[in-house]
Amino acid sequence: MTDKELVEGCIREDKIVQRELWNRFSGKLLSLCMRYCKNTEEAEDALMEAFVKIYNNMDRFRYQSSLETWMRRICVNVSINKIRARKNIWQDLSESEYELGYDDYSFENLQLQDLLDLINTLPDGYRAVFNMFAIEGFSHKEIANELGIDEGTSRSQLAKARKSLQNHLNKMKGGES
Amino acid sequence: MNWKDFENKFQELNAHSLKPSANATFEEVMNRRKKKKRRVIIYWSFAGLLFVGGLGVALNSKTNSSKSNIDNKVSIEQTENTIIEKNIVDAPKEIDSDNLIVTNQQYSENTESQSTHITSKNPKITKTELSERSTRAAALNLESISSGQSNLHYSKQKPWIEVMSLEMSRKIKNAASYREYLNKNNNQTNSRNISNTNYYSSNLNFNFGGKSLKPISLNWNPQLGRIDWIDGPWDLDPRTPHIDKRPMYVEFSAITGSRSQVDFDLKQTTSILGTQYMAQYQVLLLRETWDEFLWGFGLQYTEWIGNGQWRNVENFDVKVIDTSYRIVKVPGLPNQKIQIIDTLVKQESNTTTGNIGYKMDNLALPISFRKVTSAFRTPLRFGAQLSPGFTTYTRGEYFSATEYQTIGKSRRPTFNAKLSAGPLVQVTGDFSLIIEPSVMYHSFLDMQNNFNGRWFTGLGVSMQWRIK
Repeated sequence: MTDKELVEGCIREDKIVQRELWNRFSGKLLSLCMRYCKNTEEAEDALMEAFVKIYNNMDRFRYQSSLETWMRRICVNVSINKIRARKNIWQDLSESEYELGYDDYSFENLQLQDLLDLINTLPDGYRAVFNMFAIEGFSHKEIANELGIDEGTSRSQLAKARKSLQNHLNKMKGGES
Repeated sequence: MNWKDFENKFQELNAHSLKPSANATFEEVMNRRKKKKRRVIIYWSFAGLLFVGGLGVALNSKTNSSKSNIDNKVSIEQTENTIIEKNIVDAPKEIDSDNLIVTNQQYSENTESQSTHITSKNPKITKTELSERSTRAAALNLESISSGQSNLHYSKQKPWIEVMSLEMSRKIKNAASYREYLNKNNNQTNSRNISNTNYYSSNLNFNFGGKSLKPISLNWNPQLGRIDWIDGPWDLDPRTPHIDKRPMYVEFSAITGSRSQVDFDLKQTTSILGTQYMAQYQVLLLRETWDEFLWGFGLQYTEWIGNGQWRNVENFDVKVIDTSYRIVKVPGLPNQKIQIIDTLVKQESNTTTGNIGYKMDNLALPISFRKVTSAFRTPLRFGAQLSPGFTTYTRGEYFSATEYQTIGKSRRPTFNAKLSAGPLVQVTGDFSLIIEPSVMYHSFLDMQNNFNGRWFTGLGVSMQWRIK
C-alpha cells in the first residue's frame, strides 16, 4: 500500500487502512518515542497520543514530505510536550564546559540497543536536544522554537549531552578493557 | 572517529523498530480517539452553554442598566417643576370651564418654576395647584379635580392621564371600546399597552370653557412591576379586560446523537459495523395552554450520517480426494493392485470486507409538547415531539447490523420522534436555557415502502424566549 493509499484510506476512516498504518509505523515511532521519554509506559502513551493526532489530522497532510517524516514530526512534538510538562529539565552550563575532549573509541562496536541505552542515560533536557539535533537533524534555532528555550540553552544542553555520553562511553571502554 | 561520526552513528536509530507492548494497540488508539471526540463534543456544548448564558446575563445587565437610567431620569424630573401645558401657563391663570373637551392631558417638563391655577364653575372643582415637583404628585393633584364623569387611564408601558368628555366616557365600557377610542384619537398607545392597562373609571365632571388641551407625552416609562407611581385613593374597582394572556415562546434547539455497532455479528453471513450520527436543528413556536404545558409547531432540519464497514462470509465445502494404491499379495495368485480413494470434505470460507456510508438530510415539521415541572428544587422540562418530513439530500447506502440497501435519490418520506428531559435554567425573565438529554427515533420510507428506523441517544441545548 502506497503512502497515498494510506492517507486516503485514513481520511475516509477505513479501519483496515488505519490498522495497516499502525502496523507499519508503530514500531519505528515507538523507537523514536523511547528516545525522548523516560520509560516505556510514557513512550507508548506518547505513541498512542501521536497516532490519535495522526488519524485526526490526516487530511492536513500535504505530501510535502514523506508520510513517515510527517508522522515522525508529530511524534517528536508529542514527546516534547510530555518533556515540557516536567519542570526543571534545563540545566545551564558554564562556558568552560563546552570545550570537550574525547577519547578515541571504536563506535562501530555499538549496537542499536546500546545506542538507545546510551541515550536513555541522559537527563530529559539533554536527551531531547541531543535527539533533535543529532538524530532528527533540527537546527539549534528550530530546537529553541520547539522547546521554548534560547538557542544558547540548546547549545549548552547539547554540549552537556555530549559530555555525558563521553563519560558513559569511557565507562563502557573501561568495562571492556 | 570523532564526535560527528559518533552522532552519525545515532542516525541508525532511525531505522530501529520496537514492538509495542500489549497495552499499546490499535484498538486502544481507536478508543482514545473516540473518547477525545466525545470530550470535544462535551467541551463545545459546555462552551456554547457558557457563551449563550453569558450573552443572556450581559443582555440582562444591559436591561437593568436601562432601568437605572430611567430611574435617574425620574429623579431628575422630580427636581424640576412640572406644569400641565405651556399654553395654559401663557393663558390667563384662571380658566372657566363650561364644556369639558379635554383629552389626553399630560404633564410636560418645564425648566422654569411656574404654576397654573385652574378654576371651574363646577363647585366641586375649585382650584388645582399644578406646580408640583413630580409627576406623581401631579397625578395625585388631579384627584382634587373632583368629578362629574370621566375616565382616567394609564398603562405601564406609556402612561397617559386622560380626562375625557362625559359622552365619550359613557361609550367606553371595556378594553375593546377603549382600543377603538384610542385608534380614533390616533393615540400612540397600542393594543399591548391596553392588555396591561389597569382600567379605572371615575366620575369627573368639569369644564374648561370649550378649550381643548393637546396630549403631551410624559416621557415616563416605568417598568413592569413598578406600578406604585400612581396610587391615588381613587376608591374605584379595577376592571380587568378579558384578554388572552397565555404566553407564547420561540425555541431554538440543536441536538446531536449517535449510535454505534462496534462488532461484526459473527452469526450472520453479512454483518456490518459502524457508527451512525445525527445532528438536528429546529425552531419552534410554542404556546402555553394550561399549567405550564406548552405545545407548538416549527421547522426541523436533520443530518443523518453513517460510516461503517461490511463483511460478507461465504462458506463452501471443498472435497479433497486422496488416492493411493496398495499391492495385495495373495499366495498362489498374481499381485493385485488396489486403488484406494479417500474422500474428505472440508469447510472453507471466503471473507470479503468493504466500506459503506451514507448521508441523509431531511426537513420536517415537528409538533411539540412540553411540560415544565420541578424536582429537588430544580426546574425540569419534559418534551415529546413528532416530526413528519421528507428527505432533502441522500447519498450512499443505508445499513443496519446485518443488511444494507441503496437509499435512492428520490425524495423519501421521513418520520422522526424525540423524548427529552432536562434541567431548565432561567437566564433572564424571558430567556431560558434547557439542557436536553434525549432519546430520538429517525426513520425513512425506503424504495420498497418499508420504514427503516434507528434509535439514537443524544444531548442537546435549547434556548427559549418568551415573546408574549
